[in-house]
Amino acid sequence: MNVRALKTGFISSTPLMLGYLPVAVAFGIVAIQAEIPVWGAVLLSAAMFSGASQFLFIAMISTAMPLWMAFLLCLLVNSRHVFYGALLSPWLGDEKKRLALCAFGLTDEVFAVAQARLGNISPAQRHPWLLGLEFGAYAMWVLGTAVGAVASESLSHSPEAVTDALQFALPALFFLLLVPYLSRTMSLGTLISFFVAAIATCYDQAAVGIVAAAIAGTVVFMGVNRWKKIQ
Amino acid sequence: MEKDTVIAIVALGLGTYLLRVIPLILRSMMLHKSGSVKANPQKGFWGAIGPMLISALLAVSLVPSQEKMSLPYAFSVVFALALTWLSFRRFRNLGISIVLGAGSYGIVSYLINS
Repeated sequence: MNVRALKTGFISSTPLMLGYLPVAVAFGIVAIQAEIPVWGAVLLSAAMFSGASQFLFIAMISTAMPLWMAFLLCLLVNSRHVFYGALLSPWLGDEKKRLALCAFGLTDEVFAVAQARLGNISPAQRHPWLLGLEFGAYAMWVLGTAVGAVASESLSHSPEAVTDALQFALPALFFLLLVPYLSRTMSLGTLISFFVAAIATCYDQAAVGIVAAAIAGTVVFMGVNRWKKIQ
Repeated sequence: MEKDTVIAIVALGLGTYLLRVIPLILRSMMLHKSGSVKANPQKGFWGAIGPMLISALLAVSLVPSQEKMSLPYAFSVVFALALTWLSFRRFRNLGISIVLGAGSYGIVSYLINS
């Protein structure tokens, strides 16, 4: 394995680590408050590696919802992940073992960084780079959960400005990744996607909203392209 | 924690992994079978949906809870994003720009709220 590419990928995960830390710590705290043991909180993060559905799972089992229902709803929330592997596949070759290894860490944020960067990395370095990226993000997610769970009492009183600042790392990252795509033809579609997702989030439908927004934006983009060709 | 809950967690982990790995492997097999991986497979729908997903993720990460929704919040977001963008243009480094942007957001929202 190309160790240098692995290290570069790990360094590239720094913005993700910054963004994940407060969320992972918050998850650890919430899990303890829901009377889940420390090892249970860490197991959730280690097995699922998916923030939104983890919080949802905790909320659902706290209300004594049947486990099979919680299971199905969490999978539905994660259904947007179906796009991520499909979109990255052109850059990752067809060696099934490598693909199987890379697939585990495909979160929203890992996907966003990989989507923007993989095309600029030489084919031989792509797998180790992606693994390095995923490892950094995953390690912070699991460690942050453990820290939050173990030190939940003292951490729940952290200064708000510090946690707010750390949580802004993810929007800042998405913004910088999006800007290069803002060509004339894509701008309207990305704007539509942004507003559809924003409205869905206001109604607590973020998971469904992401998929609906992306499809809506893509349809608009393809419509604009077609209209321009006709002109 | 009950045994059933542990089983549900492991099953969810496996289910989430399958959601990620199956489309990755299937599309990879389709592209390499058709030989279209050398041509640009990211045109049209596949070329656009990636950036649209990133735009949607940006929106979801920015929209605050009802209590936080306010003009001061909007101002601090716009200011911090502008600073993030200017930092990137100056330093051409993702990490530095994000640290500066996140730091400015923390400072501005602290000043506004205090």
